[in-house]
Amino acid sequence: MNCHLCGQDFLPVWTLSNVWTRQTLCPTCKIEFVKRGECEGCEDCGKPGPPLCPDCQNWRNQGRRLVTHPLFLYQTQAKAFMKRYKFLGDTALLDVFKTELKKVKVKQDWIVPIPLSPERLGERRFNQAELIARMMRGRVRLVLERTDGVAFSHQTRHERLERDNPYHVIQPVTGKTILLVDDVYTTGITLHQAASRLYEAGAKEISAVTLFRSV
Amino acid sequence: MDLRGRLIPDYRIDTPVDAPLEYRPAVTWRCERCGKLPTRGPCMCGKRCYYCRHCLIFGKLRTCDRLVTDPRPLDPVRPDYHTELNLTSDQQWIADAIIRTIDQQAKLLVHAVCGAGKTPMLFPGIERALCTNRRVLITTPRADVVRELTGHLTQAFQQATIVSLFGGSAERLGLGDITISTTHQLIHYRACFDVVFIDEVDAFPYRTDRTLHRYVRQATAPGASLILLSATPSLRDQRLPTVRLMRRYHGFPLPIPRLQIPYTKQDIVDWLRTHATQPRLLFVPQVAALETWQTFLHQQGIGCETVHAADPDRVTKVARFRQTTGILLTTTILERGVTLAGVQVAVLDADQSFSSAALIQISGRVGRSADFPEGDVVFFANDRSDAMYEAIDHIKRANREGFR
Repeated sequence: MNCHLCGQDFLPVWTLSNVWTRQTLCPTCKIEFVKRGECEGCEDCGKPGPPLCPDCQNWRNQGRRLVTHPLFLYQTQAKAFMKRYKFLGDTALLDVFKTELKKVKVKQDWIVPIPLSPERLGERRFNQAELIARMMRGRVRLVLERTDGVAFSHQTRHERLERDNPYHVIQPVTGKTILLVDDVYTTGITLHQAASRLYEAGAKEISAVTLFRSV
Repeated sequence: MDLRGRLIPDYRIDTPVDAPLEYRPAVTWRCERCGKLPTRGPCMCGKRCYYCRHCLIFGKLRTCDRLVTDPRPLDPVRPDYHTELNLTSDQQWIADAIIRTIDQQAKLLVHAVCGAGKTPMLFPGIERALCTNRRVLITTPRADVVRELTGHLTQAFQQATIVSLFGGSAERLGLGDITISTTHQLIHYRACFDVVFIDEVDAFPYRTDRTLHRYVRQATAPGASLILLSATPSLRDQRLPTVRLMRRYHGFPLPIPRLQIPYTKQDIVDWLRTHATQPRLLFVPQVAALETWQTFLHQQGIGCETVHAADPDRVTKVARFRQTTGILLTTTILERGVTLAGVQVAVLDADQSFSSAALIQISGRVGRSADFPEGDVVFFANDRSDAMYEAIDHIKRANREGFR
């Protein structure tokens, strides 16, 4: 069997507990993905380090708390994954995280992926956050829309924080509990902007899940 | 943008083309570019969109994309003559065989030992091809070999346009009278080369990857002549008509590897000290072993550098090694295509994971220049493997055949 990520041939280890799962990663790639432990690091964003990181302290001071659960840390192999998945467009690669995403307990009413701008969507032709959301067990609703088209990855932290909120809500969300989904949590500005729009539209409670947390 | 002889996705066209272009679907039941089976993936165009995972790094191809080519014929090739060559009579014989093959549009395997001077033997054949209006491709699985061949050919052919293609090369999608390319880059070309030389046919990954064979087949025009070059051809390639050259260009025999079974680490240190005045190459079986050996040699007060396939400074390190008389620890990536004057070679743990072809190629690094025709090759091992004895046997037989 070939590893989905590095293409190396490997022999999967079958046990009674995993005969029905599809093994897609070779052992060397698998150990490179560092799972974020449940109770270590920042309790709001999952950043390794003190129990409350300065960024989240800042958000709390502004009265905008958003609890985010990243599944993995954004390190060497995770970067290779994102390069292939998002920028080269290898969407089948997401199967690698299928079991992890299925395990996420969703108690919220709706799962809402962070949208892409129409220009970017036309270029990439899929929304990476939406695919992650559709792999989880829950109802996916596309209630957000993005208007401007500034590329994410090429901005500095300062530029990101200064930017106006590009999101707006296109469906009524009054009284709903919502789980936001994104691919990588870096500064948290994206998720906080989306969350504030949803709160304005009357959402009851919002939390978030991301695949990776950059360190 | 000239698209004649190329086949690229339509979104790659950056400058307008004023010609009737030919479009075809990019992904049908298979990927039309690399021939592998596609995978289903979400897309704006609908639910039944497939894309190819195998040639993803050359740009994503979906069912809703199109491949585009320009069906007009290519420009005629400019005739060119190579600069003065002094081939030995053996080399001349091989060169004549290559010319005959090109005239007959046939296939040929040139089985010549390491250091036999394969590159200059090609020049008369290339000259004949250019003079009879045929486009020449020299392809090889290794990018290092592409760089080295480009240097030789630009010196030999002054008039012809020479394009060299490898990952990260500036001349992307170029097509010259003589094109030198890695086998991977041929994915963008269709039916445009009339004479194809494949250097180091048995090198990794061409040896195992059948898709690369497909790329080469698709890039060759119908009725093209195919000339394979290797020092250690596989049995499959040896079914082709073969010419053999078992003698190096300077007339000295191939150095025969010595065995040292068993060995201790002290033996390695002693060996390194005896050859202190010359550059020394140490081959190790795995990337992981590089570091352990490096730290060990450091403890012994011997400085050395390491190089492996994923090393970003690989090219500069090898270039630096050429200048000095240092020690370079390497994996099998340097087994071919490097010529270093006066180099001494040791293979550490030669019984582990080295194939006989790899060991023959490694032994062939030694004594390639006419100034230093001899040198020391040692296989350090703690056990015996068939590959070691096969390699030694093969080298001895080659020497016997070359000096009959």
